[in-house]
Amino acid sequence: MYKFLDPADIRRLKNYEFGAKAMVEGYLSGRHRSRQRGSSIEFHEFRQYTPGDDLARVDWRVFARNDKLFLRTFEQETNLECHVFLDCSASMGFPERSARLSKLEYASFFAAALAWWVISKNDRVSLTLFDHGIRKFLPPGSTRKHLHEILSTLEHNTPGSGTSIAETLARALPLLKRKGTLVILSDFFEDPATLFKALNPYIHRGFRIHLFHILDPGEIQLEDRGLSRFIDMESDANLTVHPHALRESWHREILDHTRSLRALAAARHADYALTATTDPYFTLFDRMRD
Amino acid sequence: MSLLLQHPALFGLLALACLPVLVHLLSRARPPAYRFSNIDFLRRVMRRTARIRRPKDWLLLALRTVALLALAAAFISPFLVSKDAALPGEKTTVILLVDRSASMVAREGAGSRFETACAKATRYLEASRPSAANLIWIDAEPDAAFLEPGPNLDFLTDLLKQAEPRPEPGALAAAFDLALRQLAQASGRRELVILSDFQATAWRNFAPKLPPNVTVRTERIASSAPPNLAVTSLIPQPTEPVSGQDLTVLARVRNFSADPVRTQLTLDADGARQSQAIDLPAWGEAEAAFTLRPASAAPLPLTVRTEADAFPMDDSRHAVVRVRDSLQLALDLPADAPEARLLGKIADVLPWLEISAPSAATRPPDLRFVSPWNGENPAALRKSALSGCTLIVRPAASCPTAALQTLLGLPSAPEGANPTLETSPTGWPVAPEESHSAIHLFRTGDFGNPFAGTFRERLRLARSLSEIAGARPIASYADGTPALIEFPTSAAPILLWNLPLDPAKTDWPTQGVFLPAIAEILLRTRPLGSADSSQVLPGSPLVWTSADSSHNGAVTLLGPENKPVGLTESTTPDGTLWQARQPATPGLHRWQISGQTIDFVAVNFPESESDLRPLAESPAFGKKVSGTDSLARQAALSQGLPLWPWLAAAALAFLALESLIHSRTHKDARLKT
Repeated sequence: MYKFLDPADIRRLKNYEFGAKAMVEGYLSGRHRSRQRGSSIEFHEFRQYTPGDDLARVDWRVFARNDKLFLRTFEQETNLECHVFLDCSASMGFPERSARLSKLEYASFFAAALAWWVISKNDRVSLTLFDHGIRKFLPPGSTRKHLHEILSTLEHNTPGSGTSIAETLARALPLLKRKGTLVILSDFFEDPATLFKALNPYIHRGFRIHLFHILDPGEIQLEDRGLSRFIDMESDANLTVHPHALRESWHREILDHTRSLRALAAARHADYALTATTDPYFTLFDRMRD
Repeated sequence: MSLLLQHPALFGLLALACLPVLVHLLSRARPPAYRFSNIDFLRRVMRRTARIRRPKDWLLLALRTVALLALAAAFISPFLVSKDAALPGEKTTVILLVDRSASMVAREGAGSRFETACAKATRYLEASRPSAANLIWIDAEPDAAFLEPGPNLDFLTDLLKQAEPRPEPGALAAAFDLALRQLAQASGRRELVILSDFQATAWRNFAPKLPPNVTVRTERIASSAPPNLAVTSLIPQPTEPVSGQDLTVLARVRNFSADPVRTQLTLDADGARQSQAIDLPAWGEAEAAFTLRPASAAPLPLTVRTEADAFPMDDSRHAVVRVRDSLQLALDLPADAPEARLLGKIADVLPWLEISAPSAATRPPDLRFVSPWNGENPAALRKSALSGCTLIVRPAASCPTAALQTLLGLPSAPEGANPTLETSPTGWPVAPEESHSAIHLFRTGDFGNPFAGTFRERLRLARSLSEIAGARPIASYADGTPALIEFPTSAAPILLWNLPLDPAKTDWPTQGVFLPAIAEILLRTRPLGSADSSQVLPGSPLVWTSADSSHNGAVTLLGPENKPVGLTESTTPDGTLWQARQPATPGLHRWQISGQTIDFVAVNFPESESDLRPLAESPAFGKKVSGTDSLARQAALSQGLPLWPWLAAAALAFLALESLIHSRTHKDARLKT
């Protein structure tokens, strides 16, 4: 039994499958088509020869009939490579001592289910735990052993210190050999422009990106706790405020922030979704299937 | 203004104001800790909302602080004292000048101006509690409550409560003179407090000199003027008609409002009524003429009324016309003169004309015919004209021009030589001057020339006599020689007669127009008379004297609406004198002996009081007047105004406001949660 993998969730995920969005590159034959032309068995189309094409791929029968050079192209079936980036900064430990799941626990549940699901489809999944930098990187794998390693890593993971997604993405780029699906689970208390500046290399390399913004309901709408001394979970800085006086402004600020993230994501053809830790994470799978 | 503290020992209570600040600081010191995901983000939000949020906190803190400060200050019992306030132990003398003239009857709001003035004067006395005070009424005859300012303030307040306004003008100069004389005798601080509507017509040009050591306080009672219609004059013409003669009554009505008005004017002549509708422009006046013909020789009371308005005192005006049964014509000519015989016959024919010898008459005659006048005693003759007797003078040929100059009151002798007698066998025709009222009847020509016939003897008088300023020719000979000229005087006119009446020298008396012409000349040139003899100003005493001892105990006086007026009876060298106990009020009063009316007295509302418009500002009297604050406030400040009730109320108000803001803030927070 793994802490973050519920058998009920596994039963439900068995019927899930990536859709058109998931047409990504892999090196194992699988159920996912790739536009990368290859020499697999499934014919795709004829294409007129252009200088520089591999002469080995010329269909000489067609040439014999028409006296024109045509190439035969085939679609290559490849496996999915999914890279999961899990924010393990201290802020993801919010809320502490609460009946609700912390953001890290919620993200871990989702990451575990996603890893199981990808591996169950014979695809490959990698896991990157980060806070202000990469804390742990598990390279892509599709074996049971790899899944066990991912689940064990998630179980023993604890919130770390401050966050720097940009730094993490910059460092992780050389580690990801092949393009695939990039899933980032974070509370994204970061400047959206900086975040997407760091994502640009991934986008240019053809990664399909999912940004899953995980917030506690108490962060979406500040709880009225009376005058309180707010202590930063990452920096231990404190601030004494009346939450009720800031509730409206905070909510407006969060909405502005998410609106900004969504707009930048849409401009770069990336997927963005905000989810509360009280919502079921299957909605995120739904987004990945579309 | 000065601030005095009644309990300065409690000054330390002001430190209570620090309490909310301390509570605020202490409550901020140890709030519960709450580990939160991102303070930087929260801090950024806080920076943006600080401008909105902080004032609310500071407002609550400020309200709590100010409320406690006000509460603590209330315990110290501060007093606000005027800079003009008397020093402790200093004597203060106050003279209240309260206007009770007719304009103070006007109503503004719930009460009249006078009621407001009395109420404010009472409040001022009660608030200021001066060492000595006196009350002087501004009316026709100002008088004081005390001979000198006294300490009995209760008596003055009783007087103010019982007083009534008077329908009479206010004698401002007399009232101020009385007040300043009393203040001059007083020691210590001296105050003159004037409560009036400051009616513009009365106060505009009034500028008394006030001593510098007298503090003047004014309270303007009136703020606006209600629309008012007033009958401002009533003139009967003639004032003493003979019975059967047409009497014209001219009534002038004035509109004291900014809107044009149409009103009904009614004349009541001893029960006989006539009415006319008149249109009055805004702030304008109109005149209406009523014509009536009194049948009997008796005093005829006249009353003209407009429709009732908000200020009814001046809606009517009264006059008394003494209708005569005849005019007295005194003949100052030889008894055997042909003119005497002719005039005697005329008097026999005309029922309203009686011949009387100058010496035998009990009263001065209305007309006096002097012929021929050789120039003797011109001054005495003129004096009789000035005393109200129309003088008809036919100069003799020997009359010098200097005598004529004196008689007519001319600044220089008429041009030309002395009058000379001239005759003509054929005679000279005489033509009337149609512009003169004596010729009014003949103006249409239906009755022919009033001076028909020929005149064979005349005096050669200078033509320039007709051109003298004020001279009004009645008839002239064809060559321009004056035949009959009227020279008006202040009382009765002097007629220069140059028409022979001797039948041997003229055939005019045989003409059919002779009698009406003579009658018209005598009627139209009779003395003007005056209706003032029956007029008494409001506020004046009503007096009747009689030398007949049989009247004792039988004389009564009925006031307006036939209400009996109390009389005092006293004996004087001229006989018994009856005087009304109350001053005259507007309306018709009638003196009666044994129930029979023997005379009327008309008392009319003073015209100057009808314009109710006040001055734009209270008069300053050439010095700084404390008129901006109400009298009660000034009095309270001079005594020291305790501020603790205000401070306590302010503290409660601040606390209520604080709790309101606080509860609303929390309510909003709960709703959002």
